[in-house]
Amino acid sequence: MIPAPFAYARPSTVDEALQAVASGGEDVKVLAGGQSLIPVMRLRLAAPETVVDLTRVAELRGVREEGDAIVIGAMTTHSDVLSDPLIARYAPLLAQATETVADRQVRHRGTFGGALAHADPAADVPGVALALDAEMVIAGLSGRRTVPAAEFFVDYLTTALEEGELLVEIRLPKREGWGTHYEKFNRVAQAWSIVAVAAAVRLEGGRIAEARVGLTNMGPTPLRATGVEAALTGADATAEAIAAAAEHAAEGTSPSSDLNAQADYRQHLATVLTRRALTAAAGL
Amino acid sequence: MQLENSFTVPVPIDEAWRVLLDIERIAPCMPGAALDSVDGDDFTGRVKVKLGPINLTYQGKASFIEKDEAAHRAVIDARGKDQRGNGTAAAVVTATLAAAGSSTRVDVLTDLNITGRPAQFGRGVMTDVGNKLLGQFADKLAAQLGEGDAQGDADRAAAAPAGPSGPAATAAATVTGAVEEVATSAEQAAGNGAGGQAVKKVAAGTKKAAAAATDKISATTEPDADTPAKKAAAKKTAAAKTAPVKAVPPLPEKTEESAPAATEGAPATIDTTQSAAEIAVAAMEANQAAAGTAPAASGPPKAPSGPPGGTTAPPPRPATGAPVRSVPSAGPRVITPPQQEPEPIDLLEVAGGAAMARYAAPAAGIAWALLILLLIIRRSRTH
Repeated sequence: MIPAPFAYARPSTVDEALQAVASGGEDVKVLAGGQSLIPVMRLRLAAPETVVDLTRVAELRGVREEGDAIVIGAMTTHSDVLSDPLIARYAPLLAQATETVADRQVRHRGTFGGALAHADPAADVPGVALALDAEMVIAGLSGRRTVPAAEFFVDYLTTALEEGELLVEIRLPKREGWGTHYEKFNRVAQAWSIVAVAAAVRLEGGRIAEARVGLTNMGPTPLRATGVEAALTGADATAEAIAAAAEHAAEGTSPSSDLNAQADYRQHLATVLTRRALTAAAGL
Repeated sequence: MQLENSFTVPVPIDEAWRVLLDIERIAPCMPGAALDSVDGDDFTGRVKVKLGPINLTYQGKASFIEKDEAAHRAVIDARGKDQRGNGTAAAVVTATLAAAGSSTRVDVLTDLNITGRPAQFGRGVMTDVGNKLLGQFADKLAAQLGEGDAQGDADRAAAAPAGPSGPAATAAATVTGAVEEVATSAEQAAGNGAGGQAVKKVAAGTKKAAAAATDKISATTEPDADTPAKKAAAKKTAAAKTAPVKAVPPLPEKTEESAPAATEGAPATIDTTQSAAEIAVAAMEANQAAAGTAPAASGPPKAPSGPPGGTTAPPPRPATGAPVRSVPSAGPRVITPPQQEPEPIDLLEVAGGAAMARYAAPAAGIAWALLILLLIIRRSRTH
């Protein structure tokens, strides 16, 4: 329960942080909110040589407007995301999903960027980032690059972040007038999703002009339910149309089986939760 | 837990069998694995598992417990211990070969048993991870076998005569061999993405050039077997320099850049290693560019899996800046899948348990205080 000894660095700027990561030796871990890293270190499943703590890097916190996007600092905590007016206006789906993340204590420490960089397939915010076409701004010693969410999540707990790089900002395109809903299924209130669905629909005169559906925990990475999205585009906003489209939710998914649920049960859940999420998002 | 994988390789069964038993050739196919020693049918080694924040290194031994030439069946028993005491991993791997025309079908059945904390971690994902690992292993093994023995033999031929003429020759052969291998893996990984064909072409070109260079090196080295290393190396350079010009017809940019880089580097060991690494990176970059969002299938190229006997074999991580890491896809992340029904550790619960432990001491203190208070009260009453 006590972690192995490690060196500790607490930089106050992104540049200092990058330097600290670069000079930290073989096995450097970046500490954001520590809600996943610290337990793993205490179990001694991870014993990093150096921990670079980003909590004092002020430039990584907060949400701002930039043209037709909102930019969320990677170290913005879940509770800051929940109370932010820009997110409430332009990306309410993110707030709805964040509200279901663990418990209040975890939401006060855990960060949006930390959850994305950890890339647990059962975590709630990655699916939303994918559904909303988020762009990840990644800083390295040689400069910054931007990776779309669709390419950011590579595999189980693995992202496009290279050794020595930091996730610094997340850009979300502004979306106004969309109906959104996050439907999560779990057995214990603060637990991870067994399956969850993030849905956003844009209605135009009783028809669904555009739909976006993100799936949580239906594979090693978050997924888009493209079959559902295609079936909904141009469809009438009726319960029947949504139910028919939701049948496509599990197409192409390969969820894992564990004590919480077998793969086929998860696939069944995906269709049911997609129908519920879309129904709520469309305001039916 | 049992994992099953099958693949087909385009070589006759006897050749496939020979390669399968060559542990030094199949060990590098396992993502994250390294051989420490080989002694007949017994060998020791390490397997590094990296999964997100989790880092485990299993160290242990393995041995062939069955080699049935008639049935073409080999059984390997492997067991290891995590270096930090996080439990053990044991596997019994049964590989069965079956002839299918001029190719061979390989069935791999793995009975895996993981104990300790890793078995409990991660809500059943270890099964996924295990399957993925074995899939990668099978892909790489298929690539090794498929490339045929031709390449392995060429490598060996290059390495063997190079011995007497000094380390430089061996190193050069090693490096070009490695380049060839990387190119092959790039070629295989290119898949059918938009630019897949182009990359395939590039990779094939690089491979050709590298093979040519390897051949030239061994060819040049043979007659000079007793001349000093320097002379051999010099000749080799000349030979190697001409190689790409002949072997590589006008090809896309990348090849033209990378192929000469390899061959020019031939005389100087370090340089060669680096250019090989550069090519690895270039090849993988090209591959990635083509593959687009699809992660490279074959995983990061292990630049240094050249032939044995290279006295200056390239370092496991080339000095140029970790090309192994530069592939965002299937790195040597994980190696070890779990037990039958692992009891999942809920990290939240773990954190909660710790909180209870924290309050245990104060709670005990309060209990003691109450007890003493009760005694005092009782005493004052009796008096």
